Formats: sequence, structure tokens, C-alpha cells
Amino acid sequence: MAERTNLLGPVLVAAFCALVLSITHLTTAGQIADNQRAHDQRALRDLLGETLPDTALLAEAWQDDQIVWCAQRIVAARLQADGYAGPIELLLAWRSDRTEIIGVSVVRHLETPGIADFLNDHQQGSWLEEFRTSTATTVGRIDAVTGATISSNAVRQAVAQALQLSDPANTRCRS
Amino acid sequence: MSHGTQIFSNAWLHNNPAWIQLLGLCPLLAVSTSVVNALGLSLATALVMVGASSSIAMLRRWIPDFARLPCFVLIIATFTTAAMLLLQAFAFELYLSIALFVQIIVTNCMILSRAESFASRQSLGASVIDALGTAVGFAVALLLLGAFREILGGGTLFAGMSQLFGPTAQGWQLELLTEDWQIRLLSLPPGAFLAAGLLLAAANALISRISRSNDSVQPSGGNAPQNHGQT
Repeated sequence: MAERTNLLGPVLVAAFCALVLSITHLTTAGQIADNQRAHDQRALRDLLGETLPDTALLAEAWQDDQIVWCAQRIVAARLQADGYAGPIELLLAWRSDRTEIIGVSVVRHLETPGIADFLNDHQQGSWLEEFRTSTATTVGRIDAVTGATISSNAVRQAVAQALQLSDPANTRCRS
Repeated sequence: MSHGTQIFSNAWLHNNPAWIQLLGLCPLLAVSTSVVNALGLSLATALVMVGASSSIAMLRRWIPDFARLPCFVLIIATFTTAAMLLLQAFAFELYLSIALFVQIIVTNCMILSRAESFASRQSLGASVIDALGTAVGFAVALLLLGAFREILGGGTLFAGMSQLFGPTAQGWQLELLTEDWQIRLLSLPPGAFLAAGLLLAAANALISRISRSNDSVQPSGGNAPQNHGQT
């Protein structure tokens, strides 16, 4: 009965796994970042709808890390809500003169699948659609989703905060 | 070489993970809503399956018995992460719709069972063939279910294939059934159970019929002729 356990094997296995992961990560990281950016830009384009900015301008606007679009009295910003399982990344677009919301779109989240599926639903009649045309004062009246109170409150709070911070006097937005 | 083909046909047909062993049913039921989802998950599973099995066969001399399962799970998790990264890099839209089920490939008992019962005891070549066979068997089941549910539940076939094959696949979508003929139930979760049950019944009926007719011809029941009925 040898007490000595041989750990060389598991260490070797771990090293092998680390190697496989590093190689895959190094070869795909750039492409994934590009895909994510394209996805975010598509989300922004969907959000702004009619007031479609051309892609070149959009890519340029994206450099700024928070305000991503700012023209024709329309501001779009990237927000981060503190969700149940991690950050919920949002895009929020509003009219800067009236602080009226044009739309909210969830770009990325880690919330429980199934329960938080309403965060992926941007169709008509969905929960996110309720934000449309509400203002800084009426956002608070949107009901939280049953069973996902933390997730929905996080989104609501982040949106309300962003609207309060960005009064019409927002200096970063000249158009 | 006949040994190799025997391993392959055993893995994909006689021990099919879906309709004989009934393993990996969670992704089978959840992702089979359309052909593109089924194909995406099949490819991801195949990559993990082959990667993990070949690595385990290669490293099996160094994997001590007391740490067998942790080592297997670590290797499977590694290849699952790699599959996720590759999907994100080459099929981002598809990844967004099946991300959850790619992540839980780690817990797919189909892969762990092949690692435990085959790859950890056999040579590298045999393990790769076995892994390929298992992956093909899973893919066949998943694609059959996916096509069945997509046609009857949504009336289309090959919708959204551009998520996987790029803009060239834009025109691949076939409109097969008008709204009156669609059975919406089949694209919902209960439909998955019904369709999987039908697939199971059909596969078992076919297999028993083939083996019965084989028995009357040659009592030993050779493997090669059985391949024909299913493809």
C-alpha cells in the first residue's frame, strides 16, 4: 500500500488542457471581438430604426465607450445594469430634448436562461417594448417581471439613472 | 480495416447514443427545433467528442485511476470551451441561439461514457473511430428530429442556414407547408418529446425487423448488411 500518490499525471493533463485552450483563444480572440462589435452595431441599428446612421459613422461613434451615437437630438448609450448573475449590457436610445426613450435593447447578459428570456425578446408587446416612449419619470411605473424581479429592476434602475444623469444640457452631445 | 468499420458501425448504429443508449437526450430534445440548430450542435458535439476521446486515449497512460473522472471532465470541459470559442468566431449568430446547449456538452453523459468505457482502454486510432461514429449517430438523430420538427412545426426546411454557411446559404430555405398544415405543437417542448418518441419507436422497429430478417439468413447476425436500411 503505497501512500505516495502520483500527481505527475493530473498535472500533465492540466498542462495539456491549458495548451489547447491557449491556442484556441489566441487564434479566435480577434475574430470574436469583431463579431461582437458587429452584433452590437446591429443592435444599435435595430434600436434607432428610422434614424439609421451610416455604418462608417457608427463605427466611429463606437470608439467612445459610453455614448455610442449622438446626433439629431438622439442619444444612444451603452449601459451596464447590475443583474442577478452578472452585468446586463444594455443599449438605450432617447431623445435628448425630451428625455423620452426611443428604445432599450439588451446586448448581453448572464441571467438564468428561461427565467430571463424576456431580456432577449425585442418583439412587439414584449417587456422591453414597454420602455418605448416612457420618460425619466414614467420608467418607474413599468412593472417588474414575476420571478425575475432582480433582473428587471436592474434594467429599470440603470435606464432611470442614465436618463437622470443626461439632462438636455449634456455637453458631449452637440448636433 | 474491417475492425475499424465494425467499431464505427457499432458506435453509430448498434449502440446509437440517441435511440439505443438514450444518452444526451437533453440537447437532443431542446435543440432539435430546426435543422440549423441541430447541425450546429452536432458539429460542436462532434468536435468535443473527437477531441476529448483522442486526448484521453493519448494521455491514458498518465491518467491515474484515482483521478480518472476529474481528468476526463477537465479534458471534456477544455474541448467544450474550445468549441464555444470556435462557434463564436465562425458562427456568431448561431452561437447566440444555442449557447446554453453548447455549454452543457460538458455534462453530456454520452461523451463521458465513451471516455470511460472506450477511449481510456483502447488505442488512439480506435478511439477516434469510435468517437466519430458516436458523433455521427448523435448527429443523425438530431438532424432527423430537427428536420421533422422544422417541417411540421414551422413549414420550412433549412431556414437560417446562413447562420452557419454565410450569405451563400441565403436561398437554401424551402417552404414546404402552408400555415394550415403546420402543427405548432411540434416546435414547442412537448412536441420534442412526441417526436423523439416516434423516432425511437421507428428506429427500434426498423432495427428489430432487420435483425429478424438477418437471423433467418445467417444465424450469426453479421454487421455489414444492417447498414443499408438506415441511410
